[in-house]
Amino acid sequence: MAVCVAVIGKDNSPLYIGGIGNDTSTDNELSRQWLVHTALDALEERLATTNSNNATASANAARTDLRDLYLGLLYSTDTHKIYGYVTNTKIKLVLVTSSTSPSGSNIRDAEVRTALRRLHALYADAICNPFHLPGDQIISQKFDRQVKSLMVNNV
Amino acid sequence: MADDIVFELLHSEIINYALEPKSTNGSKEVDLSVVEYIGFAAGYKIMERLTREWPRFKDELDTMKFICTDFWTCIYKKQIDNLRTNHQGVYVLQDNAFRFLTNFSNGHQYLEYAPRYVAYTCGLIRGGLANLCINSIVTAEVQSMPSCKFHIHVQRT
Amino acid sequence: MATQPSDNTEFPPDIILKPLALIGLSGLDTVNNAIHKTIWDAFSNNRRPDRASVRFKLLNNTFEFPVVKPKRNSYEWYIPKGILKKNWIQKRVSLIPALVVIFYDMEWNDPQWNEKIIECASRVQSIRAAVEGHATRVAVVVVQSGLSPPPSEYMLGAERAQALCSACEIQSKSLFVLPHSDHLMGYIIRLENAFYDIAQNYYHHETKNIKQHRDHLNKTTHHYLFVRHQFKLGFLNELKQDLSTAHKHYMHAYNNLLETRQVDTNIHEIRTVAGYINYKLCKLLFALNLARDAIAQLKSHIERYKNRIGPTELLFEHYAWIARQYSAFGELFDEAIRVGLPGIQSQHPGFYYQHAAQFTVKRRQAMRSVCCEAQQYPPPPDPMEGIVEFYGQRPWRPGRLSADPHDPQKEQAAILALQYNERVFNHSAVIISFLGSAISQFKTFHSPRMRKQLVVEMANEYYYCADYGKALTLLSHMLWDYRKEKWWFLASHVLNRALQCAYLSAKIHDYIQLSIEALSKNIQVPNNDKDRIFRNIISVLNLNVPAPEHDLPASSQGKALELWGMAIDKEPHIVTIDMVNIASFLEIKTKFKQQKYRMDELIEIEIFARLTYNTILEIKTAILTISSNTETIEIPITDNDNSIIKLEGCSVKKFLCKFKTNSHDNGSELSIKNVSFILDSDKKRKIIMNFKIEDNKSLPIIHPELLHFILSPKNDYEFDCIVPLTTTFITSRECRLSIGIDNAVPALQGEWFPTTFTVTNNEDSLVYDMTIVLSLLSSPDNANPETVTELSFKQGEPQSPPLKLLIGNVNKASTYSNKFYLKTNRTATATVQIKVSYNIDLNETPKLECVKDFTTKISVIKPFEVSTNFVTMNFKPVSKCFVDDPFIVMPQIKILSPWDLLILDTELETVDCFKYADDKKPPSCISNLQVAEKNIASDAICIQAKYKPKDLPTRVGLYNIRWRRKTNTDGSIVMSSTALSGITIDDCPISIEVNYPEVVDLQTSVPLKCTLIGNTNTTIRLNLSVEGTDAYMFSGYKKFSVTVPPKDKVELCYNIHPLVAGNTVPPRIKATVLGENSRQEVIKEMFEKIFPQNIFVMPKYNK
Repeated sequence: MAVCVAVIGKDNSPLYIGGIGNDTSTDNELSRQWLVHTALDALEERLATTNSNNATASANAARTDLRDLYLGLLYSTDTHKIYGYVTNTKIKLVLVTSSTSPSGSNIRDAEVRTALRRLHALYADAICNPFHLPGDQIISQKFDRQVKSLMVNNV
Repeated sequence: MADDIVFELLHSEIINYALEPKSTNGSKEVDLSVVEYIGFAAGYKIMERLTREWPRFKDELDTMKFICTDFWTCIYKKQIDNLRTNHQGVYVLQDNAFRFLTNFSNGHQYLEYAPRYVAYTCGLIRGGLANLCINSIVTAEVQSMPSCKFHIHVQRT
Repeated sequence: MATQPSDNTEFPPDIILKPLALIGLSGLDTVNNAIHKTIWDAFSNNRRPDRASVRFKLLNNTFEFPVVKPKRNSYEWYIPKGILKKNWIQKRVSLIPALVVIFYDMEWNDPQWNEKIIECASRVQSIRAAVEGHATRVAVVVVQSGLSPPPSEYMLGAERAQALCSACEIQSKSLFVLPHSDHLMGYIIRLENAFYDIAQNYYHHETKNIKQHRDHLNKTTHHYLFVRHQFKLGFLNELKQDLSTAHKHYMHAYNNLLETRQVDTNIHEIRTVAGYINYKLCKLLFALNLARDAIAQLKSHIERYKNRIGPTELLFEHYAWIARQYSAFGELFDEAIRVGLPGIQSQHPGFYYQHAAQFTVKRRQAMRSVCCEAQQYPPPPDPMEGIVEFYGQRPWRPGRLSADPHDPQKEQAAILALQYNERVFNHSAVIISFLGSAISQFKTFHSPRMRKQLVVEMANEYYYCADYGKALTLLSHMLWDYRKEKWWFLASHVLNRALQCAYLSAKIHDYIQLSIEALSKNIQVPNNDKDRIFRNIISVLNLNVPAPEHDLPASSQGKALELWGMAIDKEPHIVTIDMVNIASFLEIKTKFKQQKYRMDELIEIEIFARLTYNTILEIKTAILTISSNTETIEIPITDNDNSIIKLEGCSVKKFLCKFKTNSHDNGSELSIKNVSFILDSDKKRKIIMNFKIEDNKSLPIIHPELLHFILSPKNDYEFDCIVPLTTTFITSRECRLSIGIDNAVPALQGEWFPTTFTVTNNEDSLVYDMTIVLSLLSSPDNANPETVTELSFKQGEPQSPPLKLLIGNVNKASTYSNKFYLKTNRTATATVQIKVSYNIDLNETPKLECVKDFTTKISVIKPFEVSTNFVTMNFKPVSKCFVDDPFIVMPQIKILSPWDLLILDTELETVDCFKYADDKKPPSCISNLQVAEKNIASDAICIQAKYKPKDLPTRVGLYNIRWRRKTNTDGSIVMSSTALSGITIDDCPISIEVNYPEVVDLQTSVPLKCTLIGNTNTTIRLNLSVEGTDAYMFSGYKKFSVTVPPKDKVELCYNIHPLVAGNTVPPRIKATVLGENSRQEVIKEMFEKIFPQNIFVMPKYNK
């Protein structure tokens, strides 16, 4: 089960951070924000190496894994596993699972990939909302509900 | 197909609407910037959707190829016929039968009105590229309808 | 690395330091003997990593080895009192050498050999006696001068070495000779390696001894000994530098320890020892380049012990221990990276320091929950006093194995003592230190955001220990980054804490700035209590102490009030806030209404202010700062002429500033530099909110195109859509003067070409101080016009450009006229700029300076082209001339000028190798000749070569033409020079003169005289033959030889008689040189040239 899902903008600003659990608690929200914010370090590092690999080994361009939007497990802490996904439009998607809960610790990579791809689809729909300005925070309740359900059911 | 013609009709009516003389601004100059902005917004938003299944772009040229193939097919049901570049940020995309022109001219009739029917698409390309973090200036050139060339100048900062 | 404050969890140096084989050096007198000192220095100094892993110790005579314990034959009744003795490692690394080396000065051929050998042997014996019981090896080094050959090649030496060995009872391989000669260091290294071998051998022997004990042990009572022995084996193998074996034994020790029964009384000991063994294991794994295994070892170590909490009264000890495990591992990891292990972003020492900090936080939490009772240290006797023989044992019950405390009272006191010590312990200092180490690691390993989070944690720690100044500094820096990346939730978190710090330290500037930022719509404050914050700003403005922030530590509040009381009416009275760099409740955008203004226009600037916090803000003064090239001006911003501005919350207000340009701003750029909104309460304090406007501020992330069709909230987007325009360009007023140009283009190259210009004043009034400046402009076909073109107001007298005319007043509708001359040596277009500047008084601006540039283009062409022909005296074209043989130069002047010209005179200035054929310069054939376009004027000048120059002359000379326009009767005369092309010069040993007429009459005899003249100093003999033709009869010699004498002549006489009329070939003489063949060709050519090919014969006219 994913405990947190985040959409980060091109400029690294948070567009949406959704969490399951004791939602209202500020401490919970704070730790979630720290977790997602620091995950950007790993995301940037991963993108940098992907790009440099692409540049140096252009002959090796067939290495599709480097061109996969899904970046896989970024890192894990004692309590959480953090997965990353970067769209072609430089929108970063982050998914966090709990290592302590059984459903979170036994999660398969393929499941996370599917979940992040679905999140990408939800995001692609969300920016077509005429009331949403791309680059602003996503405040659509429909999006929020869809993401929450994705977190609960599908991962 | 009926759904395609609806898109074309909407497009031409938007242009007619945008060209209606505004009471506040009596000038006769044709201001197509609104049409271009509409294109920009649409291009920006649709790009997120279209690149979903596409692997990470290798470079700028890879992105342009995507514009010529999938992007164009999705909007105009055909691919760009010719792509040329100077490898310094200028790309020329040639569509030999540009959809918004094919319906009303085959040659030089109405040539003077052609700019009206490319503004939306210029915006579409520019907006799409903007969402892929490529800032550009897009212009179009129509010499003989229905062929159209789109020039993309990538702005480097 | 920052040193952490000490606590009892730190590892003793014995565990941390790398074990080195101990080698004792005896018999070296380093104080009195210079040679011994050099030897000792060579051993002990400069111990680089590439040298053997040994430690040398100088043993003096009084050195005592530890007493050997009696050997135990049976362990049956032995119950160990603890796991690891504290003094054992110390004994091994500094007290029991593996080898003692006895240095002794002795030459093999020493005269007192017998005495020496006895003394040496006795020294060896005394050392043997001292190490009695230990297996320490003994070796002897004989220090020699290095003059005698080695024993192997030296019978006496070999014998005596043998004798020495047997006297000292040592094997020959334990005897070394050290010559203290030039190569001392090389010998020392070799000795060192030999000693190291012996030491390794010794340690190997020691491990065997320990292994023998194992058979005597049983698992029920000797569990500790299993651990102890394996530890010792590990350590001895480390001394031996056998790292993998050492690791194996430490691993056994570690596993044995895990199996040990654990109770509350031995938990501390087990934990301590486990920590040490784990440290050793990890250190060895890093040394063996098995970093992953080291990390795995630490993980499993923590995993195994994290639930072995021990007595709950001492819970904090458990967390302190875990923190230490992490920090020690971090140090090992860091060390390994420093010697070459690559770290990566996801695995580096920073994480372990971070864990250490986190567990120290838990330690403090545990302290808070279990130590609240421990208000005082227990009364004497101090339970902490006492000697502890084993690592990790408690001083109040050393060596106890029983699970129950034997003295409950003492136990109670001891726990109280530990709790009290923990209460007074400065946890924050430790946490800050761990965080500091972690921060630098995360910085190294590309994790700026993780680093920031840790800095915020560090700031919180400073806050907890009431160091508000430091906390505020750190938080202010971090706030910047979170703001920049728009992580407003985190920014709010940081800002609220920073605001608490600013309040608690009564820092007025920070307090105001943070409060203003707290009112931003992006910032969330506790309880959403922004009104209080706003009131606080107003309080400080009115010199009143602000209300405290939420959740302040009670202990600091009194102090804060005191600080505020002192600070509130003191400096800083003027608080200047840089609003651009913070998120605030007030935003400003500025815009020139036009991108360009003319000098006579009023400049208008629009200022938009958006107040996002719902209040009414009264601005006492608002100032706009504008700068040009020369000055900076401040313009008050008013609200419909009302200088006090009231801004309403949640709306955008627009202001308009109008001002006139300054006369010297003409042509320069104006830019908006700053907007200041000033809050003022008429007390001493002001808050100046400065909005610095920077040029080319990076574009907003949101594309403005997307904002066009967004529906709501309109208010914000309207403000967001305003594209600031912060610079404008001032241009001069449109000038109402006109100019007329009158000239006869094209101009001719070389002439002073006159142009008349007339400036007409079309302004509505008089203009004054008029100046006209003429200058040449470059054009694509004429890049540097000033090098080839001259301008002047006077014909024939070039003036250096730019040409300036001071004119003064020109009345309305009147004109000013003048004429300038232009002379150019290039056929290109000359562009002349006529810049007219003047002053005019207008209603709104008196003495307004206006400028207008006019340009006129003057095309320049060549007046004519000159080409040249060369002909013989009889006008036959030639391509070659002979010395002293006159010929004619015929320049042809083709007129290109559309205007009629008058050629006044011409002349040819010959180069040195030519001269006029006549004695004096001939008059020109074409002087005073009037010509028109397409005419060709031909001149003719007769010249001859003076000598044959070495190189072919490139030209015959300069052809000068003096001319003028026909119409220009008063104008100056132009002289144009053209170089005429050169002609080949040759010399001939003879000259020929022959009087052939051009025309003869039919049937009329003509006498011909041919003179051959010798030009050289030698005679020339020629064979001559006359080539007759059918058209002529002739008389004279037909074939004969002749000798032309030097510097003299021969005359030949003929009569020719033409027989047919018309063009005829006359009889011609041909010559061949007799003897000197080299001149054959030249002479032949000469004859060819002189004798005509053709003569016209006039027919007889019959009457």
